[in-house]
Amino acid sequence: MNFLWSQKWSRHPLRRFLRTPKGYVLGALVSLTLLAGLFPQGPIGLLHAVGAEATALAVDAGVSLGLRRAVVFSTGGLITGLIVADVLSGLTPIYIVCLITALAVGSKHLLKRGRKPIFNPAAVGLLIAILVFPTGQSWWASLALLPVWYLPILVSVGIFVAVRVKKYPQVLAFLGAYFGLLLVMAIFHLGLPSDTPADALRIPFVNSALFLAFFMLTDPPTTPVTNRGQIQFGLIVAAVSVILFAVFGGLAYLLIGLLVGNLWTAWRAWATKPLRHSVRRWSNPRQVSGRGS
Amino acid sequence: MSSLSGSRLMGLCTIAVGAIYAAGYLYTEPSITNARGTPPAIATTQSPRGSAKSKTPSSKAGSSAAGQKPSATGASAHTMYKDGVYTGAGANPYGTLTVAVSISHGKILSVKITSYNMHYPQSIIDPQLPQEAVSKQTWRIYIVSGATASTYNFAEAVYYALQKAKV
Repeated sequence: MNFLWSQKWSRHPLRRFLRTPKGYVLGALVSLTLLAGLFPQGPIGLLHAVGAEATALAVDAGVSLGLRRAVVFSTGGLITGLIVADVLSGLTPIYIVCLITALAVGSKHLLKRGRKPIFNPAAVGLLIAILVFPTGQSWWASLALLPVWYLPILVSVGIFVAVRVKKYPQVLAFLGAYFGLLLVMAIFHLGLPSDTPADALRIPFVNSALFLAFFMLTDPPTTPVTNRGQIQFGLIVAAVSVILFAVFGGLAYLLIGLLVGNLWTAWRAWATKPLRHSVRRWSNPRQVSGRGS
Repeated sequence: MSSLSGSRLMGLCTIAVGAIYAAGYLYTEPSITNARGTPPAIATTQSPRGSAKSKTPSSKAGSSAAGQKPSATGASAHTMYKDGVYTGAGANPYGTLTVAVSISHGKILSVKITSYNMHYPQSIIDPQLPQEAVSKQTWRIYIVSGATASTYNFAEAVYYALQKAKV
């Protein structure tokens, strides 16, 4: 009986999905969300997560219908919706959570290069939330509201996901540069008196940096593929984030750093695309002769 | 170089990143400890809302008493309050908290944090800040280092509750 069940499970589509990069990220986010639901406002957060997921699926389905494409179950939308719900404060009205999710998912259809989004959709939505809506961001699914001994769980799950999606080099580059620059800030007494490196290196702020590094920085469509590109990307995101933190403080510095990194990735791809295009064209004798005639 | 490829290199880099973090944490520990030893009081010439804004310039969050503006002459130990239970809320981009202030015989009998959703764990400010508000009979409490935003939110929430309780 067990053998039959294990044979069925080994061929189950859900198992296959859970072993894809999106599957790893979604599985990790769902696990952390359920664990973080232990904090006092957890049930509200879980309700927000369900609302955000439904909104993300509806927006993606609506866009597919509008573009006359086949409607598919959008796992990317699920990840975006879950990240938005995981970051926004539990006291945010649910309609605001759904609205921000809709904006986040919509941004990936509007701001794109080819078929790939330029920016991390969740980061776009959350930055709009900071700038436009009167809502807090507690990053509750980063276990920031739970005691300190939950932190190793976040780190372990995060490393597992980053390794599985082959983005660990950029996570290490980001975290190494981010912590290193904060140390430099502390040594030279740089930054604002209200937002110190000591704060950024401690709970709850370090949780948000780790959550961003493990689950938002590792988004495959908006980040480089090669190890060299990943390391450069991680360094750029860390440098921009720490400079913004030192000059302005606040909460948006990580999100803006990530979006600048995404823009650099898109620019890099755009800059290399004409070269690739011409190489492919000139390597095809038919196209060469066709163009010449 | 080939021996340092793959998982071994990643492992060494992970240890290096951990060491950088530990160095930063330990280097900044004295500043946190010193700040805890000599906590600065919330400026008596500033309102809690103004103070919170000075700490978090990007503050956009409202509060349950958004129409009111706290003033420097807000509450003191000599102010008489109406008996009853009054609620207040404080909010900033770091989160929101609400309090219930019980007044008996014109004085603050107890302060309870009724909802809490901040970056910091509630244990950082609870029960010391509610106890401090009761013992000093004022919303002007000391900043808890490392939980500045929570402290300002707490002070703001108590301030608004006491505004409602004013005779």
